[in-house]
Amino acid sequence: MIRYIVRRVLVSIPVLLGIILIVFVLARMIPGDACRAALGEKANDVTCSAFRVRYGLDQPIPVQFVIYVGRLAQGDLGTSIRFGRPVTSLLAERLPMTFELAFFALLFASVVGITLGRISAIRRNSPADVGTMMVANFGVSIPVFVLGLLLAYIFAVVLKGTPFALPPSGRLTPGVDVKPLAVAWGLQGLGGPPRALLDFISNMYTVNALLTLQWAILADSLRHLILPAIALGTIPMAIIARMTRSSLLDVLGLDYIRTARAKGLPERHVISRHGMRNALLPVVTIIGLSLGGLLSGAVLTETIFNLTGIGKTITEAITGRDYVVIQAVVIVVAITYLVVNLVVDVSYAFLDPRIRLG
Amino acid sequence: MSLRMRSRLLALTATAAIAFTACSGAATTAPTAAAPSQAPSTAPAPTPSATAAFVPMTYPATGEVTCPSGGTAGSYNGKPYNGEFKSIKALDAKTVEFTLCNPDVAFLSKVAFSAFPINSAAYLQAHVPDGSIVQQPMGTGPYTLKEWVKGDHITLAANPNYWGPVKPQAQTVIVKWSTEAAQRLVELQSGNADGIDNVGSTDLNTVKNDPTLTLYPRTALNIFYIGMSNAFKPFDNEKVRQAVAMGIDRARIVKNFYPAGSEVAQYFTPCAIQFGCVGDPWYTFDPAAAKKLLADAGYPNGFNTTIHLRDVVRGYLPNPTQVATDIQAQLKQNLNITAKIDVQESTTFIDNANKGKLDGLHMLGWGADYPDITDFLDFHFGGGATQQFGKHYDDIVAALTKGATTADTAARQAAYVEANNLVKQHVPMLPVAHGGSATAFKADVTGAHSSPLTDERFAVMKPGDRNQLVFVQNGEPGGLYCADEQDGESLRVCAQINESLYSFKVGGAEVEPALAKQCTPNTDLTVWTCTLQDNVTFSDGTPLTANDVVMSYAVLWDAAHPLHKGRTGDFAYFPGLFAGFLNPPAQ
Repeated sequence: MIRYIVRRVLVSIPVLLGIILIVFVLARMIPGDACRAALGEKANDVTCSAFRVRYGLDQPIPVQFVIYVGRLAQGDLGTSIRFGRPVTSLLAERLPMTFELAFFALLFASVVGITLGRISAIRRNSPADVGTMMVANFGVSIPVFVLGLLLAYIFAVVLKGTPFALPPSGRLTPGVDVKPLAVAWGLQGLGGPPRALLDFISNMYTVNALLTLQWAILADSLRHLILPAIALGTIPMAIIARMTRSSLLDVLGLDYIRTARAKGLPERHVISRHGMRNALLPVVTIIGLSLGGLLSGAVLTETIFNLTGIGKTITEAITGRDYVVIQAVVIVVAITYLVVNLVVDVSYAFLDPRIRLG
Repeated sequence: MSLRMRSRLLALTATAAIAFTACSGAATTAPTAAAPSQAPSTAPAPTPSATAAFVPMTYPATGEVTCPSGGTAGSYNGKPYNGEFKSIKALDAKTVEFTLCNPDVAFLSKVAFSAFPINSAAYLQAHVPDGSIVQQPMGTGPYTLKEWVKGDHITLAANPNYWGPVKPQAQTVIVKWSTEAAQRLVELQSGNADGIDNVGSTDLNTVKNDPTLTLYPRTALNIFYIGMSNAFKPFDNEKVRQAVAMGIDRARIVKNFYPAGSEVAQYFTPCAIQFGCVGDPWYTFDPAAAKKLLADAGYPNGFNTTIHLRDVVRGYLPNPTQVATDIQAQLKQNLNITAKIDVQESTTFIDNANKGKLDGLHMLGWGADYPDITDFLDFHFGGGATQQFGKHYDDIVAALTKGATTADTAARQAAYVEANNLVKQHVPMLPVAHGGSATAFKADVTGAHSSPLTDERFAVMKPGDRNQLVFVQNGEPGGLYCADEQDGESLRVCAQINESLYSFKVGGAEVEPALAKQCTPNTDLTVWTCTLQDNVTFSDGTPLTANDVVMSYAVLWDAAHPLHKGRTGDFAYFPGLFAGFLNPPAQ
């Protein structure tokens, strides 16, 4: 197992280098000038030439790349052109939001998707099957931005003033503030990586609220996450539902299921203990792969629901020609994707003891 | 100093901030008074200047600034100097004197700009070196910064020490941001926000028809125009340019492609700006007369040309390609001119326009930096203008120079009547539209308004029976030390925290005294003496003195000053409006 993981990590290094190179080149192919995107169109040539010198944009692109990779090797992701701050601190502020959103979207997609798929498979060709698969097809077809705007309009405007009203944007109700963990626990003096980790966790408001037992903030934070999580999780939910249905139908036709039924096991146990466990193997793969889709889908979802995670950050970075941020975000997403794929592969061994990694 | 010179100086001085790091240790002039020193702290504490005997500062403290003259750079400290300031001097604790190198009739409009805030000298010394001022501004304004949750919102709390006659109506203001107009509207409709900026052009009727909301159209301080360069045929012929001026139905363009609140431009400068609309209004649409003029110019059958543009949405041009297509159709229909459309990348287009490389018609516009006619006419048609319209029109330059060097209202009026009439005669461009925009607020917000300069004042707004006002703007501020910021999103927030010597009237573009009771010029407009308000304190309790004003301007003016630091270090508005830095770094 360890050898397998090490080998996978080593194989990931050239993949990552390739991604860095491609993103570096693509970012510089975006039409437009970083200076005027950052300083405004009235910035004159002299200001812009000084701007380019300051950010190293006056150097030939290969030289810029070598400098960038050199800094990257030292863990320096660079300084944002737009914000004038280290990208690491920007990511530390914004990545938790996206992780939190992706987690709840994935939770929604998995729970609802597997449940629908299971109902559909068990009641094959029944109205329930047709209904759930219609929901699944609708979910696959509807673009995130349409669903997002629709949800926001219905729950924030149409249902305004009813118990079903939900906030259309933001992470918390204006005026509600979350205390950072360092403050809540009296650790203001803490510095270095432990403080960074604490701040990172603090920025996941639901986790923060749970750890500090701030139930009102937890409820408020969850209310703000419902609509974006549904918007983001609907497509993977539909895929998971369809995959669960077909996989479970395959499994339910196998001999050992017939044996289990012949032994007189209750149907509920046949499905849960024998059918679902084996049927879930491809579903887990889909769930893992969905994470990549969730991170890219977050670009639209975060924009629609005004959530400043890395999706919105990369949108703003592309608009503002903030090359450093574009590169950093893509690298972080790529690493996340590689790690998740590895975790999914490793999880096979746990789900199916017949699988041996090596 | 000629306007051409001034323009060149803008370019020269813009590099100053960038090269500041290299120069920061050299040629820096300390004020004559002992600079108050204070450990970085936000705790309320009177500064030495408040407790000790007042020692007035002068900047620069040593050496003489030689002003630029007749196109030749001046000098200071052996370095060329092309700026407008000659010295800044505290005459006593409440009086500051600005000596300029050349008359500046727009001085008050410029100092009213929120990019020139007055900071506490002690606070600058404590918070500029470590850059914390960018995140933690402190000023005399009605609000103080309570928190800035990056990427999410900014919370402002009412300043308990606010000196002004009108105290902040809402105890808390929360500023949020969203780039999407639809999203901002949903925030307002859902009740999550009390006000939003820039209502989408397709949402205007939605807001108007909602009794719980009120729309506040914003006076447009911008201009969309169709430029023509006299360096290229056939636009070197004045009759051709006049024919184009008469041959395009501008009202049709505004009606079809502009949001409510927009208006057909009769002059280059919006009428909200003093002297903007003096002289003869623009030609009426008359295709027959236009065709005759074209025939007289030797083009009875029209000609082929190009419409250059960039596909970038601006307040003055919300639908660039649709407008270009309509102009193309009108040229063909009304003048038999065949035009092809050339869409260029934004910065390439601006470069090409400024360098006079656009050979046909070009679609461009301008938004006000400060509400004075010099910002519109001088920048485009003055001696320092770019080559956008080809060779400068000397008679326009002369009229503008007259207008910019006198404070006499009648003389200015006469100069701008002449200038506007000459622009109409020469037609370097065809003014088309002043593009409108709007804010929207809940109907129960009293004092709600929109500002032509986009610096809405939250202090005068009372959100019903609530104590908290939530406003959603387009974007997140880059930083809150607004001397070094340029975007309206930053400047709007800064304007709640910091104040300048003058300010613009709420919802208007006229200047009125703010931290200064008054600033009065000498007869030739080269010395402006400002008397400060009494009993003004910063939000940390420090009293405002003339030395704070000197220091606030000195750190902007002198590129080699150790406190000439901000988020980017560009301080682009200072050289933009006052022609140049002291100690500009070598290019």
